[in-house]
Formats: sequence, structure tokens, C-alpha cells
Amino acid sequence: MGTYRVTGSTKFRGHAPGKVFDADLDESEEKRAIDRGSIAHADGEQSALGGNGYELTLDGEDNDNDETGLEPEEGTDL
Amino acid sequence: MGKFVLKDAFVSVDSTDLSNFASSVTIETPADEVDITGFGSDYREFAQGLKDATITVAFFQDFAAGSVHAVLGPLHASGDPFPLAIRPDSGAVAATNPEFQMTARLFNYNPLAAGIGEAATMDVSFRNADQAGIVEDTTP
Repeated sequence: MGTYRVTGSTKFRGHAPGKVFDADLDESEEKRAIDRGSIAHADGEQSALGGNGYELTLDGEDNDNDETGLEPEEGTDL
Repeated sequence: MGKFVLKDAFVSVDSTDLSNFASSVTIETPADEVDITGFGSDYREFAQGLKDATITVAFFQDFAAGSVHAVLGPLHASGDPFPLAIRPDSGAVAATNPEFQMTARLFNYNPLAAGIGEAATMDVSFRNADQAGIVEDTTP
């Protein structure tokens, strides 16, 4: 288990840029991510999220992916 | 879940969220059609053979640190397998928002392919690199 800071401009494992997180990355994944500048070791820093998880995205009030805004008609099988 | 318009798909390559740089995604899982027709049959008979898996993503190129080129270039150069994850929506994984996961390899990569006045986009095909193929995860 290591502590890392997201140094790239995009989220890494769901963690936003600048965030510190703990993860158990395999050696090759860690090397690639550090080499390309996505993350850096942050040993000694307090992670915002413990454990080995991904940071979950918060659901909005309506997250049923129905972007049409249309209600199915009665008896219509979508 | 009903009909929906794809507006906020999630694209993660080697654990890096590249959703904002992707504009289309196609997940393909074809299977070989194996002819098992025997004598005496008027119709060909087919069995399903080995499956294949390819995920194709259209990306806008970005050469910033940790962004598109920094992720894809080394994966192509090394040939190493890496995790790929796609969801129809960036929200949490759920039965109505399944995450399609594949351990992939990148065989072809064209870092720049555009004409004058065009956005620098590229279609990237990720090929299956594991016997599991594409795994659909619906566990929240």
C-alpha cells in the first residue's frame, strides 16, 4: 500500500488532480503512472481517502441516464 | 433505464480518466462462426467459436503531462497490458450503469492525424490481452 498524489491534469482512479490517496498499485502500473506524470509518491502525507478504493463519483439527483427527458408511453417496452 | 443519449461516458485508460478527451466509444465482442455442417443437411449449421474483444475510442489529442499522449504513447511503446474501463455514464457503477472492463494492449497508435483547421483527433483500438475478454461489472 502506497500513498500518492495526483500530479497530472486528469483524474487517476477517480481521484482528482492534487488529491492524495492510498492505493495498492502493482509495480508496472505504478511505474507507468509516475513516469508519465499522472501521480507521484506522497509518503508521509495524509490521504483524503483511506483504503485501496477508487473515489466514487457522487450521483446527481437524477442519474438514470435517461437524457431524453421523455417518459415512456403506457405499455411501451423500451 | 430507458432510452438515453450518450453525453457523459466514462473512459479510463490505465487508471487515468480520459473521458474529457474522448468523443465516441465502440465496444465489440464478435465470435467466430464455425461451420459444423454435416452431410445430409440442406442448410449450413454454425457453432459459436472463439470470441474476440476490441474497444475503439475516438480521442482528441493532448500532449500535456499525464494526458492523452502521455498515457497512450508509453503503452504502445512497451506493449504492456493495462486496465481499460468504459461506462455509459460517469456516475457510479450500477446495474443501470455497467462498467465494461478489459485488460488491453495497444498495437496501433497514430499520435497525430488531422488536416489544417481540423481538431487533432484519432481513433484508438484497444485489443484484448486477457482470457477474460470484456467483463461487465455492475457492482456498486
